[in-house]
Amino acid sequence: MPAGEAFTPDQRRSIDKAVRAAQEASGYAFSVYVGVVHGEPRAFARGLHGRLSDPANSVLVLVDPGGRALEIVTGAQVRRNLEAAEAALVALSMQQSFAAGDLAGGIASGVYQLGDHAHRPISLHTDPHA
Amino acid sequence: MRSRTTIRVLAVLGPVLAVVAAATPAMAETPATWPEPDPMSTLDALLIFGGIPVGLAVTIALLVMAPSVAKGPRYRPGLSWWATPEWFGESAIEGERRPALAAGTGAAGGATAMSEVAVTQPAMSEGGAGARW
Repeated sequence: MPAGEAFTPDQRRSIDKAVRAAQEASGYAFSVYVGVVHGEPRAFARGLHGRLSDPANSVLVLVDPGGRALEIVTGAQVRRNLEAAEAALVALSMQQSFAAGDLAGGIASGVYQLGDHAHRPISLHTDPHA
Repeated sequence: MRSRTTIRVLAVLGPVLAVVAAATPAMAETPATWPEPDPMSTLDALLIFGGIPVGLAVTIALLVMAPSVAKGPRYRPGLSWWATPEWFGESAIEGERRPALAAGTGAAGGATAMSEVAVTQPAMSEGGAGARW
């Protein structure tokens, strides 16, 4: 892998699109970090997640292509709709893409799936027109 | 009926006779030796016997490589990764500069963002999943 850019403009657009779609579908904030991890990936990912502006309502996806590590961290509010088992399922499908060399595609489809799973059911009792 | 048969026979024999008649001048003289070709210059020979094969090889190689060049660098698992870190969506590194968050993290000054990050472990973010490949 040459130094510099990790993605082509097309790939970057597709990931951006997936992040926006996931945010619209779920109402939670999504952040994707692709880069080097310092130390243990899980602790590093949780540290990044804690630094987001609203961690409780945020999902952080960390991908370390060199260290071959993927971490999905969900906030306390997000976890009510996105269970660990669902996140693990998404992680598995992303892992398959990454192992096959499809970095951008794996990230985009993983973020779409997370957004779908984290979809908040509309409360019909409080607002029937929602 | 008789005239039809005559027309058919003439239709077959006519072209055959015409071809035979046209061929007679060619049989007039049998060449005794090979015709002498114009001498070929070294440059011409090099261009024809060297240039064309090399050109073909280059064309085929370009056709093969064009799709991967157009797609850009490809990620290969197992090879080292030097690309600069990228964020999609909200960046936690930018978020560091927000006053509201800076008050909450209580990070000791001096450390770089990255090494500092590895230590922070808020109890809020416990869920999720991980994978290695």
